[in-house]
Amino acid sequence: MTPAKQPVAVTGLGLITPGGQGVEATWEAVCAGRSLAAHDPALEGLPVDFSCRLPLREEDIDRCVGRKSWRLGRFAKLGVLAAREAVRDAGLDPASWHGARVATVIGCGMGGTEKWEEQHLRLERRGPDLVSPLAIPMIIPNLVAGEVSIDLHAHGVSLAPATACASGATAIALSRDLLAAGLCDVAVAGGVEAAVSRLTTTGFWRMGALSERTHAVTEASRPFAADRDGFVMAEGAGVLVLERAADAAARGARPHALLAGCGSTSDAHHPTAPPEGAEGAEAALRTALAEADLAPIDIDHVNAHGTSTPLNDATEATLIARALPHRPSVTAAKGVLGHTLGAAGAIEAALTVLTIQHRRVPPIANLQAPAPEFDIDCVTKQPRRQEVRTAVSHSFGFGGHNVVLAFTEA
Amino acid sequence: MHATDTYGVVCAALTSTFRIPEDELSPDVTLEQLELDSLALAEFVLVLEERLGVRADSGAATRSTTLAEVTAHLDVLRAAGAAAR
Repeated sequence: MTPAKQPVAVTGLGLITPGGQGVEATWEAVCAGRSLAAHDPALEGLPVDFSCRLPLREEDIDRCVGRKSWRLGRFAKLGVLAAREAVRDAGLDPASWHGARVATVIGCGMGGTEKWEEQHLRLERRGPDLVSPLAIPMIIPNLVAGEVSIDLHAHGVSLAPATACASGATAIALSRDLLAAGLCDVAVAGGVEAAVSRLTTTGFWRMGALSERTHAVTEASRPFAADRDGFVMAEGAGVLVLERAADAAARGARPHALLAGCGSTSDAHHPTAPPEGAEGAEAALRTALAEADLAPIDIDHVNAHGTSTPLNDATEATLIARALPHRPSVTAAKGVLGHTLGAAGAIEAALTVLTIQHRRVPPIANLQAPAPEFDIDCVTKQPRRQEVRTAVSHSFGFGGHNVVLAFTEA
Repeated sequence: MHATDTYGVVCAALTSTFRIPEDELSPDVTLEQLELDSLALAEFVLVLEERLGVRADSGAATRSTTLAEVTAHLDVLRAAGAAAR
C-alpha cells in the first residue's frame, strides 16, 4: 500500500508551444480546439510532410534568448524561454535566490536531432573539417537542463530524464521526490523537444506511429476518434516551478495548484507496444491516487496522453473506463498541439493545472464523439465549464514508461 | 584588394551567426569584446571558411584579435589562394 505524501505547490508555469509563446497563448489555442498542424517545408518530399511548429521566427526566438543564442540548439532555446517564464510567474528572482538549493530537471526524449542530421550530412558530403564544433552541445539532450541552470544561476542538482514521451512528466515526478527528500528547495521541472527533423519524422512514420492525412493535415490529430490513424509531430517546452507547500506559503506565494501524487511504473513488456490490459499504466494511476490520498471517484478530470494512434487511445480509453468508471471529463491536448514527445508530459501537466485553476476543460480537436467502443466522457467542440478540484495527467512513453501526475486545487 | 568585401563578410558572419548587433562592430574591436569564447571562435573560423573559401589560422583569430586583423589575415590567405590559381 502506497502511503500518502505531502503535496508540493505549483507556483510557476511556463509554456512555448505551437499555440505560441507564453502560457496565455497556449491556453487560448488549446481552448479554441483547432488543430495547429500545417505543411512543413523542412519535411518536403517525405511521406509525412506536416507538423505542428511554433508560430515564431528563429530570429525572434533568438532575440528573446539573448546574446548566447548562437550556442543553443533550438530545443535548448525553448527550454530557457519556458523556464524563465515559469520562474518569473512564481515571483522568484534568479539574481537573488539561493541558487545552490534550486534544481533544474528538464526531460527530453530525443535531443537536437535536426543538428545531428545536418552535421552528419556535412561530414559525409564535405568532410570532417566542416563539421561544426558546436555539433555536440547542440545535440546532447541534457544541454537543456545545463543551459537552464546557467541561465537561472541554479547550482542544485540538474538532470535530463529520458522516458521518451513521458520525459516531461518524469521530470516533474522526480522533482517532487527531490523536494520531498530535502535535496532542493525550488525545482524548475519540465520537458522540452524540438525534434521535427527529417530522419526522426521518417522513423516515426516507418513505425506506423504517424497520421498520414497529408491531404487534410488539420484533421490529422484526432485523439479518441474512431478514424484516428496516428500522431502529428510537434515541438515545444513546458516548465513548472515546484516548491514544498509550506515554503511557498511562508514566502506568500499563491500556488496555481498542488501536485498531490505521482505514480511511475514500467510495463517491462515490449519496447514500443503497451500490454493489452494496460496494467502498468493502471498501477501508475493507482499509485498517484494513493499518494494523493484520493479515491478513484474523487477524480474530476483526466488530461489524457491521447496521442491519436489507434493502439494508445484504445488502451488508454479502456483503462480510464475501467479504473475511473464514474466518467470524469477527458481531454487530450495533442489534437490541437500535436505530439511534442519529451515535452508533452510537462506541457499537459501545465494545462491540467490551468484546467483546475480556470475551471475550464479544453475540447479535443477534431472529435465529434469518441469511438463507440470507448466508454469515456470526452469534451468536444467547446470548452466545458467544470468545477475541477482534482485531475490526473497521463503520460506514456516508448520503453514502457508510465507516469501519472495527480493535481488538486490549491 | 579584398579589403572591403572581406570585412563585410566578417561582419555579416558576426551579425547572422552570433546575433551581434551591427552597431557593436568596428575594425578595432576585439573578438573578446564581442564576447566570443573559444567555442565561438572555432565556429567563427568555420563560418568564415564557408563564406570565403579560406581557413583562418587559429592563432590569427584569438580573443585579442581585432576585426581589422582578422580581415587582413583573411585577405592574405585569399590573395595567396588567388595567386595559386
